[in-house]
Amino acid sequence: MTGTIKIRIKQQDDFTLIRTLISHPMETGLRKDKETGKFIPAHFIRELLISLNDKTVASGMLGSAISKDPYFSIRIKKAKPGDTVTIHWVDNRGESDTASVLIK
Amino acid sequence: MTLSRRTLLKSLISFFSLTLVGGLHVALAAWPKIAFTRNNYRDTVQEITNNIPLIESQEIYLKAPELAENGAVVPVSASTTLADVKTIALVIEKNPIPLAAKFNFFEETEAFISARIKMAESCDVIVVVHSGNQYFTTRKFIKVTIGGCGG
Repeated sequence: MTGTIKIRIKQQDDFTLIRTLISHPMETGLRKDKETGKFIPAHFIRELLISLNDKTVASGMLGSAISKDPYFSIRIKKAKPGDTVTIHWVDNRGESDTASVLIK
Repeated sequence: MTLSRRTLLKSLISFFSLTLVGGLHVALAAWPKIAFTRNNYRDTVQEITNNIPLIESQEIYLKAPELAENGAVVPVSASTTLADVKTIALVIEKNPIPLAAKFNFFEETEAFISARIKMAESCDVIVVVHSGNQYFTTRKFIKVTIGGCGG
């Protein structure tokens, strides 16, 4: 998958705020299709990796209780212009996406 | 000209996705399946803490609405002033699978996480912080008007 990740960086006085919004259905597997009455198969992001210049700064093990189109924000030690923030996710079907943003 | 650049881009992309797939197995192996299949919050917390008793802490800050109109999207953020934080887990007491997420923090990252979670019904949201060799916790009751897990 491509283009599912949006990254916003905000430089604060003593930290850098990384916000991300990912397009993903985050199906729990417990929801029924109203028309067929069958369960909609689980489809959710299981792992999220946030890195700064290829070094992992935070990772998340996620369950299906994360809302559809997940939003996360974390705070890292103040980053420098030229640093790169990369976000990578993998879901329970093995699908994945990666996106990077250069800090100005 | 444009065509060859496109081809180069494509091969670059497939090269990178292959590299990522290589790393993927390691990443998936780390996903704590057992903790994510526990169906009551006490078992979930025990799984996270390895049965080490939890300590209530005033140094964990859980920011969440008192009333969530839509249980499908409840914004929560957790932070702590405790030292040497390794993980922060978000557990929703009455969800079918209580563990929503567990975040690992590495050096240079503040112990702060903000996310949007689903809540099946009104209940406590529990934060479990792994700091040093101990586990600390705090909780907050959130009233939900429309559950987030129904069909």
